[in-house]
Amino acid sequence: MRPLTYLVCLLSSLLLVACGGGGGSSASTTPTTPPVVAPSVQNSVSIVVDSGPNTSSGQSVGAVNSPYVSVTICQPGSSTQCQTIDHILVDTGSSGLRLISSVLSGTAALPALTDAGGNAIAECARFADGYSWGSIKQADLRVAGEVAKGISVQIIGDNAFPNVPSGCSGSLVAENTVAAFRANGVIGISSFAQDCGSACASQALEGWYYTCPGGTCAAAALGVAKQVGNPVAAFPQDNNGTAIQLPAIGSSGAAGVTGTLIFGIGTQANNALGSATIYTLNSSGNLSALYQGTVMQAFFDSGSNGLFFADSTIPNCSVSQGFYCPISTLSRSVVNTGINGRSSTVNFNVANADALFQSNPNNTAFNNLAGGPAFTSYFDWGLPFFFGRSVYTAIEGATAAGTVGPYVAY
Amino acid sequence: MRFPVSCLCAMLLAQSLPAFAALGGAPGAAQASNPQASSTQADSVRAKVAARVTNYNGYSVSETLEPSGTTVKEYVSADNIVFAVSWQGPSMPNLQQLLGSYSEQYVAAASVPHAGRRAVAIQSDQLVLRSGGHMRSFAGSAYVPALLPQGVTPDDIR
Repeated sequence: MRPLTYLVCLLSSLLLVACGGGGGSSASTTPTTPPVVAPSVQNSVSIVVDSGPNTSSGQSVGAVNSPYVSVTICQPGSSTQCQTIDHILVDTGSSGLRLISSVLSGTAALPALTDAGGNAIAECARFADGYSWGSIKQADLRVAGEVAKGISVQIIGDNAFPNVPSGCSGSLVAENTVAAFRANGVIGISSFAQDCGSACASQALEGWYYTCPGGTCAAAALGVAKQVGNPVAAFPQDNNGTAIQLPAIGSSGAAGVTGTLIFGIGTQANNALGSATIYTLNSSGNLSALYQGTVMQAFFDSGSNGLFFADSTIPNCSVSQGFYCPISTLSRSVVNTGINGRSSTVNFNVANADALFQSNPNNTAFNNLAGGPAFTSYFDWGLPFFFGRSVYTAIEGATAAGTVGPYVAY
Repeated sequence: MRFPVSCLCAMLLAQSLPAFAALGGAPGAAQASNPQASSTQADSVRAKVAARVTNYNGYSVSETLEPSGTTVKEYVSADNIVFAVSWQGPSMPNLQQLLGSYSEQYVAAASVPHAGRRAVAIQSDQLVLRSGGHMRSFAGSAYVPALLPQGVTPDDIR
């Protein structure tokens, strides 16, 4: 590690103290010799699985199987113009930090990201169930002891660009409020370093980045360095991936479950792979899954609140739409096989979601919640998969525990 | 409730939308040859190239590669009506364009407060739709049960 980097790290940790309200530190020690190992910083933050933030009307969003952390955002380079925001969804199914504008105070007024012509840039983030529209701003992200400096962040629903282009609104369902998003924001920590990547760097693609000179938005190309990306990749250390640890829970679920989001893989004592097996992913972030005799693509998505897969033999719920409601709990299994040929069998249960919710109204975490079909060729390992496991997500191109990402390990 | 889509309605729909494929309407190839329709098409639509048309018994599948890298398929009946669409690739497609007049049903179903996240499954007499995936890898399909040609099953829609 170069001395300069060390200085930045040291400075960052000092700033963090100031940002956290500790203030007053006048430490002026300067390292006289370059360190041989990276100074360890706190690299873990608590995850809570609860009913989610309140909406502007004071009602809980009523979330289920949603893992949240708190993050602090600051004006770039500032240690005092900061705001800590709770209930940020931990999402291994997307990349980038996105915040709902209504939860932002004026404290951390963030500068806009602009193109070479000085035009502010907006983005459409599209998910399988809707879209989020808003400005791209620049900020420093602070979480645990880690700092991602000067990253692009999407501010959802800020109305800076009231005319939503058709390439975005064509996704039909707007998710621009806390109530619709069911979180105050999302920290996307998938295996991709950027949300769009090289495709958006080389051409203007509908449904991604826009500039809106004169109030009319048109798709615009944006280099990968300026794109909204996995913030972990921007940390000076512990930047090759993440681990999510959630406790095992019973078949009737649990309330207020807490776990840990750890940054880095094999970089500190608390993020060694241990007995976990590495399953490398293809260029789409997927691996192969064999379910009931059918081979499909599978992905690991902490932002999905159930296991979503097609099984026409399991009845759909009448009340809890989108979930399965078998007459009695079913036992199922899937064989996951990585691109590296490593495979394992994962057993899981499918409970009757209507009965589960009705009998356990205060519970917000369930390991047997499934639904679908998302699409007959996809198996979505949502949050139920994460309970009772350490699930590692390595970022593309980064070496983590001796293997180059993208991969998952569990 | 029945949901009839007359040929007249389908033609009007095809002319009013810049879409290359609208569920219940005429397919993109037919629309592109319609001078009225093509005069209103956006440049981004013009840039799309129908990569391949495959004929099956009683219907055909037109496969289009969007600039984003997402593949969109439109399933066209012998009477030239799109009875199903599907997509797979790094970007979600423009559902407004793909679903056409069925968009409202999708919005109504997807906007209902629901516990499930990241997957949309609609199963009604008028529309069957599935959408899922993650950023950089999405897939889904939609079809109108009443428009399925005889002998075509949902399993044929991939």
